[in-house]
Amino acid sequence: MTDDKPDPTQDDGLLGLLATALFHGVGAVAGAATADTAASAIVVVRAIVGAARGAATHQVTVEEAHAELRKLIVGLTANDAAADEALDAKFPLGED
Amino acid sequence: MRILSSRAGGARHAGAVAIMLILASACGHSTAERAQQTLATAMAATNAARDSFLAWDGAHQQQLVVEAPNRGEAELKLTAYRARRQTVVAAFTTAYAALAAAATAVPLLEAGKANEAELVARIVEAVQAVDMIKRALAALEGP
Repeated sequence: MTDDKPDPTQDDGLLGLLATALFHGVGAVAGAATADTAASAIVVVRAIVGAARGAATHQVTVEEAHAELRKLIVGLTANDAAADEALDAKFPLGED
Repeated sequence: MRILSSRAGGARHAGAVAIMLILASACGHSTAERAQQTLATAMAATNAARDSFLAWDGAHQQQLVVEAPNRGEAELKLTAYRARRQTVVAAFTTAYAALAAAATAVPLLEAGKANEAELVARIVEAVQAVDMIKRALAALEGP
């Protein structure tokens, strides 16, 4: 995304402003992690705005925050296991 | 694959500014409603960052194994990466904890057991905690 292009959230009012701010702060991470392209960044911003709109009546809870953090820990554990499995497949124990 | 885009560093604490704008705006919703909407947006952004970080993490670890010339070096690289990754995990942990703390303040405001200033402070803390994730990822990506 370049600065001379329209902001994808420009028509989203205050919610768009927030999404843009979060995008600059964190949301860009989400887009760039899968593909460092303008298109992915716009998709991420729109996803954030859309999610927030869809959750207009959604109330964030302590339980939800804990559950979302738990997903991070579970995902990292799975990634570690997959990497260890790849390690064993490439370099079987006793052959190094 | 990079974690951060070049535009990511342009607005430190911009989220907090946006929060203040939202809470200060006269758009017909109560402070509690705007706070909930803000928290939902912050949660969505955090979850999106988490999901993409998980995808990047998995691919990065596989890449470390593929590029290693022997098992010993692969193990060293994986161990070192996982240690550095802890700063990112800590940033996500702080962000989710801050979101949870802010979430608890909303019903307190509605029940008259907390004031708006306290709620705004918690939300700003939450958004700043979310912003910490960006910096943690930038540090992870660095040399």
